[in-house]
Amino acid sequence: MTLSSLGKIFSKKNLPVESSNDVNSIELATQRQLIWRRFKRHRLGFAASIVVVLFYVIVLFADFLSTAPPVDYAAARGYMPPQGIQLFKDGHFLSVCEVSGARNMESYLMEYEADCDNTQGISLFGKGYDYKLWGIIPTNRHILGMKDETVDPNAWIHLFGTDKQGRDVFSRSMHATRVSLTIGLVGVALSIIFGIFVGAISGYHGGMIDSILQRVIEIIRSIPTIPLYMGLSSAFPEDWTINQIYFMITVIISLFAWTDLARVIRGKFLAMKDEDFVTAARLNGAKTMRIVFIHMLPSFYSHIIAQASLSLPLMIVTETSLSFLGLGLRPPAVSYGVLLKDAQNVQSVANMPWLFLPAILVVLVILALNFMGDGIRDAADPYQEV
Amino acid sequence: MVTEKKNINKSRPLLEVRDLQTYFYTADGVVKAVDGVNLDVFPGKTLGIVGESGCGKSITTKSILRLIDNPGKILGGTMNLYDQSHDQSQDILKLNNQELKEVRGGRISMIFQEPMTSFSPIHTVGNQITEAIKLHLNHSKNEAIELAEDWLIRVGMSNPKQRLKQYAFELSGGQRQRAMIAMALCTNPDILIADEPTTALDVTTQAQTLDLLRELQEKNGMSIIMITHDLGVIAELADEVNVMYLGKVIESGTIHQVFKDPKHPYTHALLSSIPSLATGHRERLPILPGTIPHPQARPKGCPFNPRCKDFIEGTCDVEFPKQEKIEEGHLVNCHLYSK
Amino acid sequence: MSAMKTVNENIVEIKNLKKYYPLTSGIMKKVTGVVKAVDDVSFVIPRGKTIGLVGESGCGKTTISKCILRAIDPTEGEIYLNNEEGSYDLATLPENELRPLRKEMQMIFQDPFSSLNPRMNLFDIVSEPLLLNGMKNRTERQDRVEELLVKVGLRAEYMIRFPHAFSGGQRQRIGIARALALNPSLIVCDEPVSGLDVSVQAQVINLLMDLQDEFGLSYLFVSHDLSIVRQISDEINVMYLGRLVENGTPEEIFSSPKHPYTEALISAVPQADPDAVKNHKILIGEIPNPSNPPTGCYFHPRCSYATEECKVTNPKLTVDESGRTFSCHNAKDLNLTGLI
Repeated sequence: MTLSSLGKIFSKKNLPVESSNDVNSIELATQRQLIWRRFKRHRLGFAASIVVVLFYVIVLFADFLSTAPPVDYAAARGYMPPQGIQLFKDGHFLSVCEVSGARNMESYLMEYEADCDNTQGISLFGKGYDYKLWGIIPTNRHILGMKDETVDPNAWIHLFGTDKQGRDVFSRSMHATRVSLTIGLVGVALSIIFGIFVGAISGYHGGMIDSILQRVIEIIRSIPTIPLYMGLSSAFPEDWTINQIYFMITVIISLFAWTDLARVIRGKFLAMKDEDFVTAARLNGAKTMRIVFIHMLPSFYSHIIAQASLSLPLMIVTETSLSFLGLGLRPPAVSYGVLLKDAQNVQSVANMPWLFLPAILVVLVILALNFMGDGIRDAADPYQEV
Repeated sequence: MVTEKKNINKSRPLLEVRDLQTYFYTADGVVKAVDGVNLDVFPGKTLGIVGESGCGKSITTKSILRLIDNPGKILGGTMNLYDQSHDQSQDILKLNNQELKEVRGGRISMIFQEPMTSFSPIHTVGNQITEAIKLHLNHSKNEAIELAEDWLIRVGMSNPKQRLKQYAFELSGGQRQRAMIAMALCTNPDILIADEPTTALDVTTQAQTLDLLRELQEKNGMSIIMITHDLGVIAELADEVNVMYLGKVIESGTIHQVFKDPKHPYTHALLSSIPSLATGHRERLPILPGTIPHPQARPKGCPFNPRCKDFIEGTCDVEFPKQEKIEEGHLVNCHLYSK
Repeated sequence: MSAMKTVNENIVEIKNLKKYYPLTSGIMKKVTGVVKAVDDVSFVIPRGKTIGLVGESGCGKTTISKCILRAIDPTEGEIYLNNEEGSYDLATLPENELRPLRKEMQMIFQDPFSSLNPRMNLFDIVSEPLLLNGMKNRTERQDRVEELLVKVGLRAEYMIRFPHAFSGGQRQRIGIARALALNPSLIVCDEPVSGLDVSVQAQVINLLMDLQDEFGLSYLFVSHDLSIVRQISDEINVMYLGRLVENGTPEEIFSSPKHPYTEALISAVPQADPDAVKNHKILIGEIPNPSNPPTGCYFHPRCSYATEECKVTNPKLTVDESGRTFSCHNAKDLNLTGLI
């Protein structure tokens, strides 16, 4: 129906019926769809979210993406520089140059020479070391594998080079990504649960309970974190497995991170408590649970998501710093912090710059998460133009 | 009425805005917030701009001071600001930053709906007023303080000495409004732009403010551009009225011409749909059907056509009507009056 | 309607209502004073009538409406709600006994944007009161919502849309539909049109009057806009600093106000008529701080007729021989001007 024909109807009947122009998608859209619309328009945030998704693809398929087992030593391949992959050479779609290495007897370092006249073919989805996908499906397929199945697949493809013990830095980065990003995710999940619980009670109830909870939060926030982490992590029993330490680190980190979220949620609850639609629900006899879970919480889901994606990087950085300081995960576990600890001397800066490649990943994922969080926050702002 | 004060040519406008266009480039497309607006501000007179939300009245005045931020852009038009003797003029759109600074707060001042926003919370009221005086009038510090005090008295504030030392948040709503008016007028501007100055106030305080503005205008002879959606406020203060709808001025004239003999169906409907103290008990007022369209879904032709009771198919929804002269000074854009 | 004969003719009776807010300071929350937001107010809302409540911001008019709906608990006084079953004192009823009564009183809010949950579509918004009051059948609710939307001038197919798709006036209609859902007998309208565009105000006011005629609703109409209050109300209460200063029909109040404050309010209303007389009775100063009100008559510092007596004693709200209710010592000697 065009506007002009509507105009005619009104001028004739003059009914107090509201005109609505055309039924377009915006009018029927839910809040979630609107936020998505706005988020897609937030270019930086949207691009960042793609990067974040890629990183979580790494988390899901770390083993598949790895070219070599992350913890296997091979001293003969120590400090090998990154290898380039060649396209369309010697009849192979993908191939790497043959590398021969010899120890320099003065510096006791391996020196490598690439012989690009002889190449080894690589196949996509080739065979490599055995692993279980998601801990369930046993397989040996990897994204890159050697064509010639007789050669040792672990000796060849080192996209990011190798470290001192000859472990493939790229594969270790993939596994570190998995560990660090899941710690972040689990930590955020724990702090969201705790934050919503405390924030909702504090904000909705108000009064004395609110005051007490806020003081508790202030006390927790005033504790210097590094000494506390040191104390807690040194309290881990020696015989704990990597998994146990891993879990405890997550808990320790989220023990502090929830306070931020609780404050944000409390603020939202305080502001929302006086919104007219909440009053309306209350006056119609809605019970507290309904008001909190049907009316109030959904109104700031998106803020919680934004806040969470902004605190994720903090978690990752915290884990990285702790592990770097030797307080968090320790070898043989692999995390960003553990990887960077390996690269922390002057020698590596000068001679083995590829050991810093994991740092680029850290920076990349942190920035991407921050940009994504900003994007979601902006998109969730209900006062923005649609 | 206005007393003779300065040697001004009163028959010619002080500010002449022609074909002003301010568009906003949003992600969903272009919003023509101000689309070909003409205004004449005469010396010592009050020009009222009335219109409902989204009509572009605020954007018009912000454009006059070139206070449009991204994604908004002033696309075209001229804004000639004449000097007192009407010999020379400058086009505000062509001013450089230095000249613009002299015009803003110097020759043209502005007051807002929420006085808190025009005061900084970390400086005293006195500091901010004297700062404005020093900036525009080249007064020494002591002269500036004296003048500021004088202005606080003129806007009817008690204890001016003490008020100068207070912060804006320490004043009550009405006092803040007065302090803001003092700050806007202390540089002796030729034009005062008042953007919904009384909307946030109670009726009694609103009456005080309107009386104050009228009184100050009589004494100082400045022109006022008054923006409001309240037809009552316009009727109290304005000499001339421009009625805006969706970025266009659709009717203009003296207050009597427009309010006593409205020509545009929108003006007419608006005036008859508001209750007055003379409206009968439980009387049903004639209503204006529908709502204001979304600025991005502006109807083709005359923007008012979907709500108009005199809608002419094939004309109103095709072309925006040309300006027609009803009588001297009374202009209307409506196909009903096309010759 | 037939049962109405046996029912008290006043749907709500407010007696000596008080709402005090304690002023506290310091960590220990020591009470240092009290703000009398509503101070000893009594009035009734007759069935099927509209009672206007006017006054400047901070005069306590919103507090009264919230007390009636028990959105807040009054400090003292009685609020009787009368229906077929009897008379209930809303001021003291515990929440669980109050709940069944809530469906008789509804509210229309001032801000059409904050009064609707942006996450819910129109069906969820309008049907919530139904759901909460036991209408579990979805089709039944759907039929009712459809009926309500049409009643307030919206289309039934808007049901699946979300509030952001609607303009202020349309949202206010949605709010009205929600208020009507449970067939209430009383609707508290808190500045229902002050957030709307001028051209839509009349639409909503006309709708409110039509609905009142159709359903015999009683309104408490809270507003600062005297023109609208005059148009819609059967009786007007004028408030100043938590106290009632004058009560009367619109005709009485506007043609011959008895309280100087009412006179000043009327004269301050700007008229959309360039020929209207523009000599306002300017009030001196602003509303005093309610935590530290003046002695005697609260209005005396701003009153041009104030006498010595006004500074000392607080005038009681009294009914004079002609049946007018006001609180002013000098009313007899004054000849106040209303509308000219």
